Amino acid sequence: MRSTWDRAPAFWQGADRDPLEQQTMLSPFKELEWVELSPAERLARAWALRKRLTNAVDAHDRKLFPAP
Amino acid sequence: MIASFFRHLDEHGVRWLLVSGQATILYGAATFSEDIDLWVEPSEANLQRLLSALGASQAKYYKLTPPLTPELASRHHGFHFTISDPNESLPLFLDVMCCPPRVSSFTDAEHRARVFETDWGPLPTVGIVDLVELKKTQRPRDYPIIGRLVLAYMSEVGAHSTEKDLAWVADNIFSLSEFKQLLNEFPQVGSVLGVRDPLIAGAVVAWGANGALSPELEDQLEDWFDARSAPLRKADRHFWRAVIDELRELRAGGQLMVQGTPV
Repeated sequence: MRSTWDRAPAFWQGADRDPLEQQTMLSPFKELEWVELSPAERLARAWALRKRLTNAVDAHDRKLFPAP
Repeated sequence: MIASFFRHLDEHGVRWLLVSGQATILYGAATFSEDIDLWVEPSEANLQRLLSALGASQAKYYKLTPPLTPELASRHHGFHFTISDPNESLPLFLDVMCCPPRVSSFTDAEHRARVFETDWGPLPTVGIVDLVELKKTQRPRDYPIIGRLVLAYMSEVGAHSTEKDLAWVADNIFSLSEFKQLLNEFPQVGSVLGVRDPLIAGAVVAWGANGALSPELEDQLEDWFDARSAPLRKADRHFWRAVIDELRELRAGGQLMVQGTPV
């Protein structure tokens, strides 16, 4: 039986996300479909989304080596 | 490329766990991460096996990476690599830690790990409890993710949750949205949450009576959750200062690996 956790977490609305994350808040991640995916499917779709980032290098470096 | 990399890890017998962003995606607590983070068992033999696997994957050293030695690994340094694929515009960013903060030994975590079957092959992934500790960073955005991991944990233990489970859950909610979702989905947590603070107790009662919280109470709760995570964020900042200081010394001494050099 699926719990509500598997239905509609509010965080998918994206209101509390920073610009980088909002850039990645593209379909199908806004949709209920996301929670119904298997872990493997989530991983594959999330990784595919990476190709659509225009600043992946900056995003990676900013997280890893934050400005003092 | 990625599947090939993970295959190389296994072929070389590397002991590793997937952590951080991709792990949170597998557990359903996040939607995106641009890199791959591994927790690698820190023995010299295992690090040698990792270097062999990285060599077989044609990995290159990335920025601010010290030599991958057991000594530097034990002092909490991170090791950064890229793996390029001619068919991909972006390299794979690979970040390795051997002794991450706030968690016990690799072997303990390995016992609690879970293997997910994926397109990249079977991925041994750090367990939710360890992942929550790893996410207690200085970044405020990690705390809602912790809440989602807690919700995922509760979805798994469900009606079989123990007092210990509920106490852990109550200790690891840091955001209003996940707090409300927790009360909605798992009302049994309310009694444990309520003893943490009078404000939380009031919120549990209000939620039980109305299924909602007043805007004023929500504002107070937001402040309470911010204050709850503040010491953790501060502790993480302090933790990394010593590591960064040593990294500066290594750089000044010309002891870092040259970016772009093949492993």
